[in-house]
Amino acid sequence: MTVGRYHRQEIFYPIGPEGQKKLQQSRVCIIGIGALGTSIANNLARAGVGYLRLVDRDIVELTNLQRQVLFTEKDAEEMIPKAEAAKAHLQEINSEIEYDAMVVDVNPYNIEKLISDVDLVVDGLDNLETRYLINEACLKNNVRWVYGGAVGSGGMCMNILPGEGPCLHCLLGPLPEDGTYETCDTIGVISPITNIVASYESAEAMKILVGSESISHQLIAMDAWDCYTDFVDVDVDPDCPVCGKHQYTLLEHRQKNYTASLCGHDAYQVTPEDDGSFDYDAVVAALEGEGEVKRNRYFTIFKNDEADFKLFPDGRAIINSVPDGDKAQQIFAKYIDR
Amino acid sequence: MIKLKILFNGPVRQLNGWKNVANIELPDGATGYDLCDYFDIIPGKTRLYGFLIRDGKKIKEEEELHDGETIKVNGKTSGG
Repeated sequence: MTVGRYHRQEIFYPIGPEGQKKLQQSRVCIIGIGALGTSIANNLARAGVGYLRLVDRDIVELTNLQRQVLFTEKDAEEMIPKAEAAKAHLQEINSEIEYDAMVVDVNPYNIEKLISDVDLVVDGLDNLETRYLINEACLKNNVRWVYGGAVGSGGMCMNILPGEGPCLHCLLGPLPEDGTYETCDTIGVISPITNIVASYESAEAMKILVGSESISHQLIAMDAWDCYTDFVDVDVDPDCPVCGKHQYTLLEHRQKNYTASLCGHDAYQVTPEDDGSFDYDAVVAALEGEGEVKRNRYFTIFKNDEADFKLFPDGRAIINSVPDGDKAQQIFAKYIDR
Repeated sequence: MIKLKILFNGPVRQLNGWKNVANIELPDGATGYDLCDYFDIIPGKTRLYGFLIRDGKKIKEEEELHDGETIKVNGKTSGG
């Protein structure tokens, strides 16, 4: 008698064959395919979640390989976008499920579309600002999401279930200003903690998808170096502007060209408003003759004495070696948004 | 005066000279804000600082602390 690939999971009583069917019928969006996101995607693909949307704006780099489990040196050498590289490797792990790799920046224009047709959003991000945006979008659209974060050797994870408990704003208060919190780029991060947090997030995701009664309603806080795990009760904040007053400040803050600094890089990303008018081929053609142009399947690199940027087919650009967002906007306007 | 045991786990230990534990005394009626002041923490501004935990529950800084309590200082984890 042969057994199926999910046999060990099906004989695990809290899942069982019925739970396995639910997993296979489920659709999950993982936002951020870095250290957390690759581990989560690995877990959920092997578990047989039927559809995985993999969302990330970045390209694989050598410094990612210390902790981002799906990537290889070849991915870094070839500068493959993380979402595409993850999809390629996951297809070799489980070819029976559907993947959608989206190489995009998550911003107020596209977040609601990204989460509109999934059962669950799982956090694989590396920054607080986008997490707060996801929090608003998920609360507004009544989509469940699993928050997880890690820095140094510590991490946290919490299910955010609209109408059933606290949200990210209840937990952490207002979005901290840039520079008032540590990131993996400022104090580092070790791979064991990202794997632990990702494993908790994956287990919570599986529990939510199979409809388990064991879903966590607490914050799980842990540290891999100091060897502790805390389970913390968090109250709903009755004055919370997001889940209490339904104010979606970040979601409604739409700029013509949305600019974000890229942590750990001397670079800014400029994302134009998606009005459907961007013509990638025409913009790249116009760059010819103004500097060095290199194009591959995923992006175009442009360099001259004044500008150095990567341009993506969705219209966004990563402007390198600029002191601030204003200078990035100037270069964007001169070479891309003419 | 009230005596408190303060626990700093993980990267947030930086706020206590990389030590996990501090035993401190604060005036009667002290709140979480007084605890933060003791360690030069400004909620919302100090890097790493997230929130306080008492008896397995997140508390607000304005809440009063009591003699003999153990308070955990938790970070906010932004990376991944």
